[in-house]
Amino acid sequence: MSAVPPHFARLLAAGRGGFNARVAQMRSRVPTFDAEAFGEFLREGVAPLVETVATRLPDAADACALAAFDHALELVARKLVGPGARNPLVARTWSQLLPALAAQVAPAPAPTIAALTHAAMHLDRVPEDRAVRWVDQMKRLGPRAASRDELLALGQVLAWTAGLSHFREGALEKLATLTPTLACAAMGAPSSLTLEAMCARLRADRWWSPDDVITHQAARGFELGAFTGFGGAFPEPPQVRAAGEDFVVRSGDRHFWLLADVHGWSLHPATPTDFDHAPDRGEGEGTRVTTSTVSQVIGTPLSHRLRVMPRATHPR
Amino acid sequence: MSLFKPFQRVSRAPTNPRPAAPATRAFDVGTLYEGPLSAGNVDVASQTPLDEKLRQAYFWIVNSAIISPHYDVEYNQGPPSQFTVGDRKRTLTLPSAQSYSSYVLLPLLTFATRRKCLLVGGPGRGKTASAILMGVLAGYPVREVRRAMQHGHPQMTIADLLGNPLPADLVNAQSMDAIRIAWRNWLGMRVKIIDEYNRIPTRTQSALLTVMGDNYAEVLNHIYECPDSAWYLTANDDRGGGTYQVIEALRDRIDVVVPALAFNPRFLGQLLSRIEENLRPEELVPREIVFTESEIDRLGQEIRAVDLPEPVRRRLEFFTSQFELMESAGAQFETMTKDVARLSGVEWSEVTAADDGRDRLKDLGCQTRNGLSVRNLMTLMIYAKALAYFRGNATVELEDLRQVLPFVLGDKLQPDPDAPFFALPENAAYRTDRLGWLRRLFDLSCEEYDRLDLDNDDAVGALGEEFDRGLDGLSEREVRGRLVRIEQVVGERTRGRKLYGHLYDDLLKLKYLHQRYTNYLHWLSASS
Repeated sequence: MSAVPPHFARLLAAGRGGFNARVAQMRSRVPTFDAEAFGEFLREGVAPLVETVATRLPDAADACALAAFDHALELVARKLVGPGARNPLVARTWSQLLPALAAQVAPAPAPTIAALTHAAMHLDRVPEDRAVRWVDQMKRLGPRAASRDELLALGQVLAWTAGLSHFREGALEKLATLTPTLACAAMGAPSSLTLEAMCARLRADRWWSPDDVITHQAARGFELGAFTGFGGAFPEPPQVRAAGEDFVVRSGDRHFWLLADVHGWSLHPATPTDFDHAPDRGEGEGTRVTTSTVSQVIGTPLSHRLRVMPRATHPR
Repeated sequence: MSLFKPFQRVSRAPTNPRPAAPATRAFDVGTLYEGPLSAGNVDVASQTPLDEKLRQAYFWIVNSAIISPHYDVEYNQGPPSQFTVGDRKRTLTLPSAQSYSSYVLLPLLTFATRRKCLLVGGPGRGKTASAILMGVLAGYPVREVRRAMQHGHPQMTIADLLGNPLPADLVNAQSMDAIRIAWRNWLGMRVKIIDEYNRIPTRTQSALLTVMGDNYAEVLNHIYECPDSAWYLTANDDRGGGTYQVIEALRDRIDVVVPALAFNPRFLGQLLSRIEENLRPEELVPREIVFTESEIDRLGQEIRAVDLPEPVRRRLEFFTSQFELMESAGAQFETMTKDVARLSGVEWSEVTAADDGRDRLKDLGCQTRNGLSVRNLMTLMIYAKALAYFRGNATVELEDLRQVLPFVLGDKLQPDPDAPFFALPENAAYRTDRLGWLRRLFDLSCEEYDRLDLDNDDAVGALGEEFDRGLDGLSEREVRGRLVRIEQVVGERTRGRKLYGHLYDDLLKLKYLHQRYTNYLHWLSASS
């Protein structure tokens, strides 16, 4: 077990009474509060941030420690960190990302820590390697953000490229607000491409990325869905209908919107009406191909899995 | 290093969730940064709808500040679970919808509507603490709220209450205008607290009445205009147990009376943890639930905009009609009221002894010694709107009216303990439980309203609606036709019937309509 680093230890000692009261209050509110896990998270998650801030911006250390302590209490009480936590990205965000962004966190610690922690929680729905990539890219590019607003906009763009495809429209708007060099770096674009041209092409073609590697990978499509018994979303082999650029999926009594683009796919709750109103454009008896204006989904009546990819005739 | 603020947690919105909106494909990228952690951002609080903020304030108070586990303002969605308990077969109801504690809810509605609330109960039940919390919700520091609180005591003078003339000016001034007054700070506050108001001497009570009633203070011909405020008065015993008898006009200015309910020792653990952790909730009010002055103004506007639909209003009219009639009090139709009897100085028992011919058990009016004033009715409607608003509704429901009614009328509608209703064994508890009695009274009135089928068969209401459409362009023939219809309805209503309160008011309304048409007819004749 690692020791609490010196700056953080000093801050904890100085506010001991208040910190203890806060923990006592949380224990009375949440009887299952795990004080041991909290102590561990203080060392592993909170201390790196507070230590970095105390070293670089000593005047901001107190406020940062208070905000981090408060958020850490809530995270442990909700079992979002510590033993049994379902999403390891939250702990990773605290131990690796927040210290790397100390300069951006320090001016407004409570909202910034909360925002980045919530982003990590949302990224639970994308494959782990892509979620980790979000943390790594934020660590790499975040310090280049000129303001907190730009940092948060960058986080939104990178969350989209990590696979939260439903944020595409909003992320494109945020992308346009970034400084051109930061925007190109976030999208893996060559320096020869202007921000305006990149945004225009991204808007026009959802299966295009300025990073050729990503475009080629996406051309092979993404596999999605699984039987609910194995942790998937579909209780029965799904039926798919096209709705504009997207798809509506029916599986048993469940209905979903399926949104996909070059960065991945996501499923969201839909209503039976949404499915019933969508035209049935599936083709084929065994393997069925359902085509939207820009994408296609391939499935069979015998499988819970689907593959979503660019439409075969998609101009590229 | 400043300490953390324990008890800072505010209930997450929505506090009164409604069925989810239909699924949509529009996704806001801003939601990436939303989640369970509090951003500590006041901007977010300012974007919260005010009814939601009011509910968050309520839930923070009941969960963290005042231990009041009494859900006596009951709402149901579908049938509740009910149990019969004890020899007297009282009913314990487990409500099936979000229900509330009156002890927190009513002061909060008073805060939102800037009315006047009396908290009554034995010492040490949190009356003053509740009032202080309301001051903090209005954005004042705890210390300022405490200092501004007026503590009633037998030696309290008008100067103690309102302020002093500056001594130097008293000596040197050549005219009253030249005397400056050092007004007390509390007069300018938007939450005013008078602790133990029934210990204030009668003369000082009169000065307080001016501030409460007319919103200004006067000393030596100088006037201080007070801002609109929510008032909280406390009393250990409001039924004559104070040092001084409270003047009736002052009592009448109080809009709601909220009794403090007993502490449930099952919650002693919470008290213990407060002692051990040395926590004072009023010092820990989260910023998210503190209202700015403009927000309180907007609260009032939004509450007033809540709709009170006609079917609910009609039931209130019918209920109100029950109480003013006293047939034996007047010789003329308009003077057959309890107010006339009261002003005559004749003993109440003598007047009621002469009041015969009706079923005194069935007649709800026989249960009270007075009727309702215009002020009472206005208060009742504004609190019903406030409760509907608090519950997130744009329209008052009958249940909203039913729930606020006992607290508004608790000190206003005086029961007649000699009425036959209270002599029945099953009604004995209503002699002491005034809130329960008033709720029962309203239920009985609604039962009678339903029996008479007034929602569907209301000839007087129809005539009133016809009149409200206006007289412009009405021909003499049409007016004469309407006069005949009014006389027909009067004839039908009075034929062989006993006179009850609602019939009395209907007849007065018909007389009013008849007179308005008669005047119009005269005007038509003169102008032609």
